[in-house]
Amino acid sequence: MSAFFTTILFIPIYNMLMYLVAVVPGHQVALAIIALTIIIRIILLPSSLKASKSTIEMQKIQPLLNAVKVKFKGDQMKQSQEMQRLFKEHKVSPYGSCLPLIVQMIVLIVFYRVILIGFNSGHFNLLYSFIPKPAEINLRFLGINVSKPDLWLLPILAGALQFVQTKMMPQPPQSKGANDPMAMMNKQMIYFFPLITIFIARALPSGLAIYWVITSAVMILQQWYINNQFKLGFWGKFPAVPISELPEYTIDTASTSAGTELHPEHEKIIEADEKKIRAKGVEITVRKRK
Amino acid sequence: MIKKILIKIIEFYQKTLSPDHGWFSSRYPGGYCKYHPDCSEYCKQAIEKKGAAKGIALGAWRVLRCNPWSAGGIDEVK
Repeated sequence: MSAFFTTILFIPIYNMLMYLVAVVPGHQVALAIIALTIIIRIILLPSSLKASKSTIEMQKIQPLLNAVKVKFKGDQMKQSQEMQRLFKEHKVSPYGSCLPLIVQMIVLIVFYRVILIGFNSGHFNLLYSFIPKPAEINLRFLGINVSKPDLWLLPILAGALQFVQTKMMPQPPQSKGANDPMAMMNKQMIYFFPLITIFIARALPSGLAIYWVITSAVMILQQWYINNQFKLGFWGKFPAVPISELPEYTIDTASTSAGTELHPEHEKIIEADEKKIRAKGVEITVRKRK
Repeated sequence: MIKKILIKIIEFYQKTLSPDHGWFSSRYPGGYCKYHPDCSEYCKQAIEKKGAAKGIALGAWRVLRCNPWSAGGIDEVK
């Protein structure tokens, strides 16, 4: 198993890094890491742009999704069928895919191993025959040794950039309330997460902190671009939507399953259902009552 | 035993980093993962129903399918 991962992940990434070390000016490992990080981000760019776009589109129909969650609380299957229908109706699709997340995680681990063992000529036997052997390997970069932990500059930079990046990711308009525990959690994590990053980065070789810094910087640029596309401003703020302009949601009466757990809001929604029966089904209003 | 440990690991992931269940889940009102159940939940169910080895294999196959070129949708552990 371990040999398998070494062949398909470790050795290719090691070769890429060493190739870059051989061609960058001054044979600076730090520059090679920066270049490799940018290459990885470019490979992941199409999928990550699409995922951010679909997240914002999804957040726009969040009130409808919340209504579905309330109405079919306790019936996962029904919930997801109803959501799939909403996605189709509003022409959005969850574009997030789990594979790129795992790929990024694995790349980080492989990077770690490469940086730990990679920088001496003793491992040149791992190089493919067509990769030039670097004439020199320069570990120093701006007074920092990339194979040793850097205690201040890079970890703090990594934490700060990560903070900016998470802060820029738009929040759905309806989850700002203090009554949503997950939204509260998210808010705390925006501050707590960068601190974890700082502590982890202090313990790892600074080459990894460089990877982290560049990844966050590229993701900030990406998010900036996306936020501009949706006219949300640099910090990705949704404009406050007047209650009267929140969308309405249609649902089939037949789809209310027996045994669905009652939710505090459930009554109100059913009530709204009954008032607005239409030819094809029922329309519920997802507006919060004053 | 292994089964229980694996499920605990998945549950820990779901409580923390998972974009579908964890700290950042409020950001993704429609869920992050394009499948239902989402990948971590699928892995958990697969390990519960089919045992550790087969469950991991099924879970890994699901994560591989959860890529930018697939359509997603409802996909339960059979």
